[in-house]
Amino acid sequence: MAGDFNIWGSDQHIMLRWKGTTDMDEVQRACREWFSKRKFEFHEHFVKAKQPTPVGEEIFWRWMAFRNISEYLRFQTDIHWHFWDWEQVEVMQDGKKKILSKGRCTVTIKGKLITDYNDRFEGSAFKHALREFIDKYLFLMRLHFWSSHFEYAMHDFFTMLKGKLGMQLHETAYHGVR
Amino acid sequence: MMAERMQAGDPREIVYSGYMETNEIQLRIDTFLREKAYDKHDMEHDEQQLPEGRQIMIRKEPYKNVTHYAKYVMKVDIKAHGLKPVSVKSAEGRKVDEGEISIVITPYLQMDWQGRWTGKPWFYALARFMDMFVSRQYTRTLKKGMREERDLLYSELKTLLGMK
Repeated sequence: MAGDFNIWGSDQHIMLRWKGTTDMDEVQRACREWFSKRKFEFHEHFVKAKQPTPVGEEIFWRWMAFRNISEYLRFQTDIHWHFWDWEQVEVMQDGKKKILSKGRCTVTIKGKLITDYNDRFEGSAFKHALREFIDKYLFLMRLHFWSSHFEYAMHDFFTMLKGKLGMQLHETAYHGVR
Repeated sequence: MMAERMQAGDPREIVYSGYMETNEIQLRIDTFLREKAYDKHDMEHDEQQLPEGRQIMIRKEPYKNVTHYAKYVMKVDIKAHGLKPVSVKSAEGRKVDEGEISIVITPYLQMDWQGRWTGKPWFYALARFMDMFVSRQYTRTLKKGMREERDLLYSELKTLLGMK
């Protein structure tokens, strides 16, 4: 098994809860664009929609994006979306009819650094121990460096998402911090 | 096993109702923490538009690695409810809301944040023994520094909200 290090500490993640009306296609497009600009490989690998009820649908999305830093190190983020009471509404915007989505949602963002993602140090107990030694002693400072770098990258994504969802407190004093 | 996190001082709470620039409050907290070299760590952001006004809940846990062993964690909980925009604008042209806000600042000191002393039970016990008895003065100094930063943030927010 490859080693993984949660960038926010064990079992930690960042979470956003929101209720309102937004153009979800635009939000999705912005998210994908954010990842492609930063040379991430993006995968939408799970979608589940429950039987619609009179108050709306319940939908789950799971996204995964990763970027290979080197042949040994990879950063991976998992984004879980959970929508409740989700429905399409027609609104007039600038004199034009527009279809927006209305409801509430929770977005959970997890991030981790994966070492030896190619499983080159697998196959024997010695190789496994060697990988653990590398991670614990030789790569420790590098892991801290990349962990801090991606922590800010994910906060940047979080800020962008808050802005796209039209949340009031989306401004930050940490712009451009790497 | 988790690294040891202890409260460095009592929490400070600000409760305010009236006109406020919510964006400015959030920005001022962020700016203060950035100036004090804290790393950003927004854990939760909850924002809902309800019939009685906008409701916002934010949990921040920014941190600063003071040494290779100790770390400051300044937990900031912001809860605002019944926020309604009003027609007046601030001098800088920002939007002003009317509502109620509560900000709780709790300072924590986290020892052994790299988790180097948590691998074995006797390592853990030794580290706690060192914290409590051998380097007690050092731990106290760190806690005092943490409390000073909490008080600075507290007074800055009070000034921003025009409280006495």
